Amino acid sequence: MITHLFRFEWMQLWKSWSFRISAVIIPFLIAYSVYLGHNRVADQHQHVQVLQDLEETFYAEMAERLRLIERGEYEVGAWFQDPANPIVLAQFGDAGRHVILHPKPLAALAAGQSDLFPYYGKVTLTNRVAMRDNAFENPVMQVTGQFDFAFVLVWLIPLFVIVLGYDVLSREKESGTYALLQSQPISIANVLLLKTLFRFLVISGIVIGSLLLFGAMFGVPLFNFGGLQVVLVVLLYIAFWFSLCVLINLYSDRSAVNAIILAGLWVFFVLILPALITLYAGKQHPVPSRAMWVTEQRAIEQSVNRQRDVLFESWKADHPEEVVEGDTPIFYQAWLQRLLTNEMIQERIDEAADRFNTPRNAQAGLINRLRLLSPPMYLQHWFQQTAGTDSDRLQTLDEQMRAFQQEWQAHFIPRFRQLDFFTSEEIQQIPRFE
Amino acid sequence: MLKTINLTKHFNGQTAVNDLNLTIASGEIYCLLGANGAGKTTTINMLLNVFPPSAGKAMIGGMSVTENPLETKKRLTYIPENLALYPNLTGAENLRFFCGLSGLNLTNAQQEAHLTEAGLQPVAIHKRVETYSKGMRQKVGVALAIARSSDVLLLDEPTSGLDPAASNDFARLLEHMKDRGAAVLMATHDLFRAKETGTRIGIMNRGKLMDELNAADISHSDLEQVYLNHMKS
Amino acid sequence: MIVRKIVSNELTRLFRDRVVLALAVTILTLLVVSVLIGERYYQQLSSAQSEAEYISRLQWEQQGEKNPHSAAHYGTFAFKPVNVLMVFEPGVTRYTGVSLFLEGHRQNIASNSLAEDLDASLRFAELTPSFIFTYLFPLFIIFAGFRMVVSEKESGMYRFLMAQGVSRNQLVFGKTLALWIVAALLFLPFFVMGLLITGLTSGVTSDMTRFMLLTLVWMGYFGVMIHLTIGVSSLVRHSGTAMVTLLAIWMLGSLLLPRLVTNAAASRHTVPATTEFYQAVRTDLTEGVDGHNPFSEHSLAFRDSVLSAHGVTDINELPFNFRGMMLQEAEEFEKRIYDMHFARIHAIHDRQLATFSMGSVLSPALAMRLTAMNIAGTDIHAFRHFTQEAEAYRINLMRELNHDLRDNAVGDRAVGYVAGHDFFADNPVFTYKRPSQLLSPLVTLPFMVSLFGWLMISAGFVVMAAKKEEIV
Repeated sequence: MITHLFRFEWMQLWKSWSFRISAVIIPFLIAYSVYLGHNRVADQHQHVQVLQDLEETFYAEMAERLRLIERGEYEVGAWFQDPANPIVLAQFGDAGRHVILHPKPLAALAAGQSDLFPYYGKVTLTNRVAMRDNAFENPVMQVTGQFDFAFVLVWLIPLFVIVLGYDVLSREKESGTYALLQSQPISIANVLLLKTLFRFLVISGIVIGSLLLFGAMFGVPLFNFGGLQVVLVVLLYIAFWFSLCVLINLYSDRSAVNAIILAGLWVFFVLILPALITLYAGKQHPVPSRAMWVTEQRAIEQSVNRQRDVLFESWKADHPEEVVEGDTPIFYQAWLQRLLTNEMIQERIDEAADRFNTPRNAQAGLINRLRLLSPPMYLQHWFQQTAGTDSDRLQTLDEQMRAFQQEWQAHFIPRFRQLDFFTSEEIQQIPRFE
Repeated sequence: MLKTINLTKHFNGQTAVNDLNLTIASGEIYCLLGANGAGKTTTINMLLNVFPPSAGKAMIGGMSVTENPLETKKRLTYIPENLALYPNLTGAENLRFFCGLSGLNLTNAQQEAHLTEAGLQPVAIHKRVETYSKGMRQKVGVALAIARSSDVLLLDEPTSGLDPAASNDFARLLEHMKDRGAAVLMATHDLFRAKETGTRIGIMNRGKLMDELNAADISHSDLEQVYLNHMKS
Repeated sequence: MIVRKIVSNELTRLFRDRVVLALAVTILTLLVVSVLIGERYYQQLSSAQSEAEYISRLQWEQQGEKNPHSAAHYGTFAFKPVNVLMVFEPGVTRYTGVSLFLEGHRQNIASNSLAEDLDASLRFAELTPSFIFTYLFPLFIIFAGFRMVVSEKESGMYRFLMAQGVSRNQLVFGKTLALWIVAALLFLPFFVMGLLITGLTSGVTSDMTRFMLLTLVWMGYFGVMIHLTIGVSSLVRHSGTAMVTLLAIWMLGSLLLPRLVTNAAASRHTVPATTEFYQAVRTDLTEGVDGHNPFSEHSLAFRDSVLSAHGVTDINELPFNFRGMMLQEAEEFEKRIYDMHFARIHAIHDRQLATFSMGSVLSPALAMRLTAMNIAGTDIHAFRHFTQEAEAYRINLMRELNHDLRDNAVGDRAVGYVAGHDFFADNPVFTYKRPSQLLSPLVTLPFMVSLFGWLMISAGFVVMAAKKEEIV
């Protein structure tokens, strides 16, 4: 019975234009989205490689120069050219390490917030600079949005499902074949179920087949647990829209009305509900404008700098064992002070940043809960998390940079304070970001 | 073969079919006459188990329709007033589809044989149904009955909207089915066709069976007179 | 006369259609909410912007006694202005930075875009009039109109009407007119609100004119959807088919193509990564453009020319501070390199825009959106204008600082020269002025032509559908 129904359903589908067009367009859309995703991730990998190479070369050169100096074959002119000096090694020129959020294996599937937030940054003793690689991107791109697999699945596939499922029962009723079906020795509920099941399998087959095929072509690793999760989620999502189609078909007999209701549900779940949720969350926890932020930072810098002599003296009094007294090189006092004030400025800026971070986190938390109301919105988020391109992950870049900066400072600052210079061997052992 | 026992149906306090007792044997064409709303279609719907009767029983081949819905449906073929088939499939494909639903797999030769037996022109067999006339679609319905060797044929106004030649065609097809031993129940308001094709005629009014006549025993004009008398009462 | 009857009959039926009424109420509510929310957001941004501008200027003036060149490194900020039309068409404003750091030797990119602080779900859908007009309003038109002609055929009324002496032309035009009226009625409350808001915020100015131009653009887009809806409804046999066809057109034109086109444009004409950009600038500065005339050579030549012009052999013999003069020369030199590199980026963006304009031939929504952004002054060109003005200001400010150094750090004041509060307070103030022309024809023309073309062709489609003879 199943094979018989499936065979005829296939004949019917194959002869309908809407299906033929869908069967061509869906693979094309998926192929293009995966291709663009692949390019995006390949670019990232390439950039990461370049940065790591630069870093390696820089420290190899420093070590080499120091080796020459140790052997007495080379002499440096000024103190800031001496590779043994901790400050020079940790802060000057191209010194410092890149902290990188490497793209996750499935990063190609969802661009997420990766066009807004940087995925790498550079850490030195005093600075943490997150680098936005795509700051020159045409912002119209960001307005229209990224064309990734998540978009194709979350936004477009439901529309194809609706086109293929809006009249699964109502068409039989309108054309009159329902009467004949009813007189057949089978349960009509079964027929409806099997017909829908078949269309579900066909669409899922096209979507998953295209994803696996083009994923394999463009090197997205899908034949593993992560890929299995994606496949299951795709099946669930398509099943969600098909069950809406069945529900509406049970409730209403007119194809045109069904089409309106289903399209309306799409608009509601995909456009209106997310917009309302975002609006509500923004109203509950408004984030202030960043225009004032730069001037605030500047005010903090000024106020710390104004009392820096006092602060410095009192710190020195408290930590006499940490510094070298007596005759010290010219850079010593200045850099001691600079490192200290920098630390204080950072602390106070972090405190001030809570004004933005607290409402932003509260907003995100509220949206996280409300997101469950709209399956498309939830799925979009799920894909971003799976791809590692969600705001939460990208915003951990700063935390990671902070953590690494502490490691970096812990490695260099005490030695600087004791004027304990490095050897060429020790340059190999300076901290790396893992 | 087909039997209703005290069959009754109420809709929202209105009686659509009232205590109907019908018995139709194999090889019989029973024409159910009546105005719109007399309860003919309701009776057929109960025989198809579209909804259960309020009281009484509908039986096909000695089985209750409500107790054995699928078994009884296997033995009958139903041709609605406007038989709709899948327009983008051919006549042969439609036949194969509906046969398949009752577990019957036809060879191509069988399909063509049945459709030809039902009077469809050979050129039309492999054309899409969207090009068919109503008469042609009904022939596919009859071919379905032939293919499944249905014991019972339920027809709802099959000749309305057919031109006289097609109507005559269809009548001869019914006689063919009768000769094959089918029990035919045909609801109609076509007095002429009932008298010409039917073996027995029942007259229904407001859900009640008013009269039963042997078609052979009565003339056209007498039938009309009897019919009109029942409608007035 | 007949057409009027058809129109009034159609309007009565639409007003009694609960689905259409519910949709109209929904859209109207969303529009009103979006305008009110947007207006408040605009007010907040606007006051934050002027406050930031004020404080930033104060910080500049009160930076204390400093060498002018230290002040150049200290730098100041320019803040992106907001304009009231962003309530209706925010364009790219959320994605471009709000503050631009202006310092010596370097041209920066504006940072701290609003989008960075907004949740990712905003990328899904943002409740703004422009969003509603791009996606929801056309859907309303489709829902209200897809049955208009085809249902007459389905119910058999079509033949009846023909028998009454109504021509197919009259029927189709009547329905078209009715749909236009419904769309205009739904738009009217928004139009009034828009006029009030632009009028109250900035008086009867160019903003109001711009708003009216925006209205024309939106109406043109609605017109395209109206014509397509009626045309399709006249040509198909089943209302379900009409619905599905129109939904497909909507999906293609509003949802799919704009994204596809912009993504394709960006992947065809790629912009360099930020780090690559600054690396390239650095290379050109140290090694010269294409290996010619690096700054090290240029500065030597410049020094020699100055020395010989004054007939001296040592910079200390010059009657002014040579370092101040040299700094300005360096600034100009660096500016040329930066300008050249930024011009390359702009050229890439322009090529992308050219691809967009090709795409807008396929998608009226894209044509509409890009025209509207330009008129509203929220497009990439408006932003570019701002950054260019800010850059012009930056170089002015640098010149003033360097010239002060050149002219005043002489003689016994040369060592440890500092400028005071009076000098910094006298430095020019950055006040951004939007270009007064209402739209940039060169930029918008292709999009406007596309939109107008769509309007005409879709109207032709309706005429064709009305002319078609049909047996029903």
